[in-house]
Amino acid sequence: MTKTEEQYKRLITRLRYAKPELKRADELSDEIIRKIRGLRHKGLTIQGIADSIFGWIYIPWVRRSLIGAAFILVMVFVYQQVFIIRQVRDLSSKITNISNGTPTPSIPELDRKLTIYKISAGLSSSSETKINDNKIKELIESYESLQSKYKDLIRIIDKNPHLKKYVEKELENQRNLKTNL
Amino acid sequence: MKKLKPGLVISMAFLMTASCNEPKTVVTNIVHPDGSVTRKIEMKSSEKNFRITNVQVPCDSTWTVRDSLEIGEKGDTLWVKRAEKTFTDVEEINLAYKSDSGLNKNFPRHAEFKKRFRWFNTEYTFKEIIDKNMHYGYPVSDFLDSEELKWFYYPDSHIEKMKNGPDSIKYRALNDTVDKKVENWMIKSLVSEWIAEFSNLLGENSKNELSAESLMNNEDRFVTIVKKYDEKFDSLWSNGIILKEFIGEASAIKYKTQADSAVNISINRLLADFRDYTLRTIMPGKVTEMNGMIDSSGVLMWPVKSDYFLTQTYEMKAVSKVPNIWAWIVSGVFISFVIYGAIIRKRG
Repeated sequence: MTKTEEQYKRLITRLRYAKPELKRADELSDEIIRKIRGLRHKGLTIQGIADSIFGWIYIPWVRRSLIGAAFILVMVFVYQQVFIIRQVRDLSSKITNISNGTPTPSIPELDRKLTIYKISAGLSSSSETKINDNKIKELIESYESLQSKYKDLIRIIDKNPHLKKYVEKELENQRNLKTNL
Repeated sequence: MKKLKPGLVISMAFLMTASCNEPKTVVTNIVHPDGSVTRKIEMKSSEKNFRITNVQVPCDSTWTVRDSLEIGEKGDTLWVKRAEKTFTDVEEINLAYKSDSGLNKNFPRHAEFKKRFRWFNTEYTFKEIIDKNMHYGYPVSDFLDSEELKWFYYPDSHIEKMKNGPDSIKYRALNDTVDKKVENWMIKSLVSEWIAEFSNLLGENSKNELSAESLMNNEDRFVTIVKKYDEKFDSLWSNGIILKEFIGEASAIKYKTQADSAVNISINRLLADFRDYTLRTIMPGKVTEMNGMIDSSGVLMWPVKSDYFLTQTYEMKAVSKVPNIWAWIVSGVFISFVIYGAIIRKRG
C-alpha cells in the first residue's frame, strides 16, 4: 500500500467513526416526540375529550363533592317547590273573593284548585288569563258526572211515590222556614 | 274645648269611614320584576267637577290623565278620571307620599319592595304601609274573633251585598255584633290614649295617684264611666264632673287643662280626616302570600279605611315568585352530568 492509500484509508475510518455534531439536541428530541404524539392523538380525540371531562370520577374527593353538591341541589329544589305549593294551598283556603255576588262559600276540591290557578296563573298579567286544558276537562267531567247523578236521583224519586211525597214535603217545609225568617 | 260625647264621637268615626259624596278611588299598582311600579288611579264621581290633584293618593301634573263618561250600574252618569304614571322604584313613590298635598297628606304612608334571589325562584315582596294614628290604642284583634275580623276588613260594598243577599239575617246579626265590639274597641283605645297623653302632659308633676301606672290600673273604670255617661258626656265633661269621677275632685281642678288637652289630642287621632280608597296590586309571577282579598277581576285588593290603621300599622303585603328558567337548566345539566359520571364510574 502506498502512503497515499494509507492516508486515504485513515481518513475514511475517521470519517466513519466521527459522530455528527447536533446543535440543540433537546429541541430536536422534543420535536420528534411531539410529532409522534400528534400522530397517536389524531386517532383518539373523542376518547380523550371524554377522559378529560369525566376524569374527576377517578378522584375520590372530587367525585364525592360533586355528588354531594348535586344531592343538595335536588333537596333545595324539592324543599322550595313543596314550600311554594303549601303556601299557595294555605293562601287558597284563606282568600276572600270579593265578587259581584255573595262571598265564596266552603269550596270543594275542584273549585279550590281552580281558585289556586286563578291566583297563580292569572295575576302575572293584567291582559291575559291562562287556564290549563286538563283542568277545563276535569271541570267538564265533574259537571257531567253531577248531571247524570242528579238525573238518576230524580228517576229514583219519581219511581217511589212515598219517597216523592216525603221529598216534596221537606222542600215545602224548607221554603216556608225561609219565608218566615 | 271640643264637644265630647263618646257615642257621637264613635258615630262620627263610623261616618268618616263611610262615603262623603267624594269620588270613589281605586289605586292599582302593577309591580314589575325590576322594581319599577306602574301606578294607575281611577276616580269615579256622579259630579262633573272634581280635580285629579285632590285625590286620596299623591297625583300631580306629571301623571297622564284621561277623562271619560260612563253609565253606572243604576243607569246614572259617572264622570271618570284615569291617571297613570310609572315610578322607577319605590323610593320615588315614597318621595311622592312625603311631598303629597292631597286629601290624605297628613297620614304617613310608604311603600317597600324587595327582590330575593333563591336560585330556582326569585321572590318579590311589595308592601304599602300606613303608620298607625293612635300610639297607645289596642289592636282590634283583641276584640274580634277570626270571623268578625274578616268581616271588619271587608269593603263596605261587599258588606252591603252580604247583608241584602242570601243568609241576610245571619250577616246582619254578625254586622251588629262587629259594630258593637268595634265601638267598644274604639272607646277603650280612646281612654288608653287619653291616659297616656294625660300622663305625658303631667310628666314629673304627677303624684302617685296620677302616675301612669295608677291611671292604667283604672282604665276599665274610666271606660265604664264613659259608657255610663254616653248621652250627657259633653256637658258632664265640661263641668268637670266626669273628670272628678276619674281622678278625684282635687286633682280634677288642678289638672283640668292637661286633661282637656289630652282629650283633644286623643279625639283628633280618633277622628282623623282620612278619605278611603281601594288599593290593588298586580305582582310578577305566582302570588304565594298576601293578606288582602281578591276582587272580581282576580286582582289582589285591600280596602283602605282609617279604622284599619287607628291603633296598628296597616300593612298591605303581597309576595310572589318567578321561576329562574336559566337556573333550572344549569342545575338540570349539572345533575345529569354528575349522574352520568356516577354511572360511568359504576360500569368502569
